[in-house]
Amino acid sequence: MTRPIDEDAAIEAMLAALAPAAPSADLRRQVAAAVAAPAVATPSSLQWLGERLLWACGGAAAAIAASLVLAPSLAPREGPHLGAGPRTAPASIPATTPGQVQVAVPSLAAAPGASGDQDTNMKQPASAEQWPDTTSVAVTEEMVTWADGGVRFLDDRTPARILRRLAIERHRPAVGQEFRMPREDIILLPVALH
Amino acid sequence: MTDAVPDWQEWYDAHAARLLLFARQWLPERADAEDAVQIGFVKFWRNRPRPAAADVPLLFAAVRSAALDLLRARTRRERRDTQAAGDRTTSWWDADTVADEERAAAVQAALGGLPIEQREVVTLRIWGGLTFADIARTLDANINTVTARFHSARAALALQIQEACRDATD
Repeated sequence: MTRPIDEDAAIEAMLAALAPAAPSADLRRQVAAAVAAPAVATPSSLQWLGERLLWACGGAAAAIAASLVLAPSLAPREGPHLGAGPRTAPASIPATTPGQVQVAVPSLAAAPGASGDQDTNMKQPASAEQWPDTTSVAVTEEMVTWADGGVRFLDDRTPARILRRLAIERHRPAVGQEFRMPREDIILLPVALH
Repeated sequence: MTDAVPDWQEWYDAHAARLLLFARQWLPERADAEDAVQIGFVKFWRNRPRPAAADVPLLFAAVRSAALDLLRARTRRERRDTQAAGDRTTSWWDADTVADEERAAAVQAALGGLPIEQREVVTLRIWGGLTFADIARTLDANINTVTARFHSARAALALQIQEACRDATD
């Protein structure tokens, strides 16, 4: 259906004759205040990328630092082990409970210099003289693998990435046979969710 | 550069009423529409502190973007139905006489019955004073699409206004 041009022009003229209502005086004041106010800096795309990279580098640095702090060095080290877990019995520990003795004695019983058979040693409480000189225990570590346990929420609030580090420790005491012990380090790395 | 530095008040006085009418196509309440005009105008002015006449479509586009953002926020808060209807019934145009009021009410009702795609084109063309090319730039649309929308809207408006006038005389 075609419409006469005059009719179209008339309707446009009728519409255009209506003048839009003026905005309130408040709007003018608000615009004046907003224009006069310093613009708030909004991060550009490069700044956004830089911030994300900073977070990523920070997380990587924290992971490296945690692994350096928690993991023993790859080079053999001397002296008593100060980490978690009963690895060697300290020399200063006297004969105490049978439970402690049963954990420590099997590795000591295989020592060439130990007197008596193994069963006897396990049943008898160990004395301070029976402990080897653990100050000269050499420990080497053989890293097996890293495992990513994913991100979990600690106490339902703090997100953290769980990293598991598996390694084999070789203990070479000055007295006794060498033995190996598996070791697992669990590293909780706080992360930020965006 | 021989052009004088334009004052924001100059631009505000020239376009504020038209921008408010444009924003009311999405936000019928006057306060909401004024918020959209404020946000869009300030954003435009900060991006174009020395605007030229060719930048007018960008000004309308900035207000349109702000109005759409506010509309989304308002929808999220489900405030639409709780708003008082008083501002919604306020005339979008100045009317000094009773005849003007009736005509303004008829046009407002007819305009409100159009799809938003047609309403924004009619508002920009009739009261915004933009060319079809500028409207296409404002809406980021094809100029042929914009022209077709305007012709359809004009025909629908003419029909509805004629019917409203006939009802008023009966």
